[in-house]
Amino acid sequence: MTSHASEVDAAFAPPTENWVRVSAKLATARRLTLSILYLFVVVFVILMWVLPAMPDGIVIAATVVAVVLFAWAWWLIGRRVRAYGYAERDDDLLVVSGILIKRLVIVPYGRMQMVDLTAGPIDRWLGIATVQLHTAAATTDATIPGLPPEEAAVLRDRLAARGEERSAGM
Amino acid sequence: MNAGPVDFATPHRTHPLTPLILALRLVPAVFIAFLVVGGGVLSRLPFPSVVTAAVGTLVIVAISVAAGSLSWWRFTFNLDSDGDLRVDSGILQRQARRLQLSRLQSVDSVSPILARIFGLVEVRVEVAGSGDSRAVLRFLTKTQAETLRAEILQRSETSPQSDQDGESAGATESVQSGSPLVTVPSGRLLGSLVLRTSTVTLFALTILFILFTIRTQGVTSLVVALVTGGIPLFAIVNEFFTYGRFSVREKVQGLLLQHGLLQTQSRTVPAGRVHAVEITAPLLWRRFRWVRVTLTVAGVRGDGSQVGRAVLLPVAPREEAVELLRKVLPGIDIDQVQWISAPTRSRWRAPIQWAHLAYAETNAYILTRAGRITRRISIAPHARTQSVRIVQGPWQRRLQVANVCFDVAPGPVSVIAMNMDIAATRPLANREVERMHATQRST
Repeated sequence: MTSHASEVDAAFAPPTENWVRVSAKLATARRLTLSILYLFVVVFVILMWVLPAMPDGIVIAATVVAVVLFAWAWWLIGRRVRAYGYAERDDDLLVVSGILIKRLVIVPYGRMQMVDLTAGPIDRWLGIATVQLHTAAATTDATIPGLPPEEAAVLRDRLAARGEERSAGM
Repeated sequence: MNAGPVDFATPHRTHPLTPLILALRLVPAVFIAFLVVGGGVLSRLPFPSVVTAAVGTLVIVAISVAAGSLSWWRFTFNLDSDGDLRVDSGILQRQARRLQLSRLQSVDSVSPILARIFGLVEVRVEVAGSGDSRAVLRFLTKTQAETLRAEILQRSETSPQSDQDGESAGATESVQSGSPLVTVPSGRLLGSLVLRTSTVTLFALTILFILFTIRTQGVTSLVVALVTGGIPLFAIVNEFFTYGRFSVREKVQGLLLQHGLLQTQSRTVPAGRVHAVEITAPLLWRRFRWVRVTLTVAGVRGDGSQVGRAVLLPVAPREEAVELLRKVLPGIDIDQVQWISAPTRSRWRAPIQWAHLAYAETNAYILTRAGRITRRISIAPHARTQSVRIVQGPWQRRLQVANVCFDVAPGPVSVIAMNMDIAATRPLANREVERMHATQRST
């Protein structure tokens, strides 16, 4: 299985040295969002404990499932954030992501139509931003989240400049 | 074949019957509205409500003919000295619109059924750019429309900004002239629509439901049968009317597609604007060697950055389709390419279609193959591919395979090499990106 694993790694390997990884703050942001969403589940579980009608077995099972799911999502967020990476080459940008579903996208600068820089409220509070590349194809999925804002702005400008230099393909 | 008696330098009106035709289009809706909405009030009058509704409709039509005549009177168009199309309109508030013909995208003529009865057509002119980029001239006589179309095409060719690669003699030929490269006989079209996999499946289901109803004498399955039988029937009728009388002609600007039984649609597929092509062959078409060819095309309407769908051939023998394909994708020969198949272990991921999954590369194109029941070949020029992705799900990871997606502009075609040996994916992606760069350097 080790040789297989290395072949998969080769398919999703960086072009030269290393992937530029994204900030660990991205994990914090996503875990925060997860926790906020999970408040509803917590309220639901508490209600189950408070209401007398429920058989104890079901209540305990539901609580265990909720806790396990939360722990799993928490752990997965960490892995997914560590899986993000990008590399700028002379003529194109590469982005990898995903744990369960692994993705690698290569976008030539000449095909870029637009570079988006976005940051939601939680992102701004933590100091991270997302850079997204758009081409004429809707399926191009080149998103780099979790960049420090200054780095993101510089990256966006650099990508946009390179895109303008090489624009073609429409 | 020059302008002859019609000269568009001076302002022209559209055909005098225009207001009447536009008003007549309202008749069914107005009549039904009178019957339905006015039902309560109308029934109190001493006449049958149909009569009242008819009279009411007549009044509305008369009013709209009067109003329409005013705006018809104030609507003129001409080709001005700068080589642009000028359209003046508006009764009180005047509007002057100028379409720069050097940026012409398309000149289409459509004939809705009512207009066709009077032998009239509607001409739509579109130029590149946002905002005022479209003019609809309705209605003109067929000769007028053909002359205008030829004139517009000629001006768009000879204007200084445009490329001068086409012979202008060819540009002035009229819409109908020249025998078509390809036509689709109605019998074949109807046959192909009936033999589509979805149609056959739904009809088979319908028969099952009807047999079931006869046995059980229930009503529910009869209702279901109406739905399962109605949907494919509707689809057949709809497509038969849309793609009836299909013809393809070669023009300087590209291929001119014309089709439609009730409403003739014509559309030019500009040479070199094709982003992707899909050739499909459903199971029951294969014994006739029929295929359908669908395109993703840029600049089908309006702004050049917009992309649309076009059916290049609703159904044709494979050889004919392959021949026509060379016109939109120069140098393509899908029977000569070297297909590289998905590995046998991919049968665990795609048990039905695995044996047909493949990709091929040529200097100018990337090709992928998929499907078992309906076979599909997708083709995109490297010059139009936008990005390359490798995607691998957990099950594919265990099988050591992955998908390589060649992203093209949104449309009916997707180009994906599915379940390829993982060791081959990255080199394939790298080669494709290298070719994409090469197309850019050459332009």
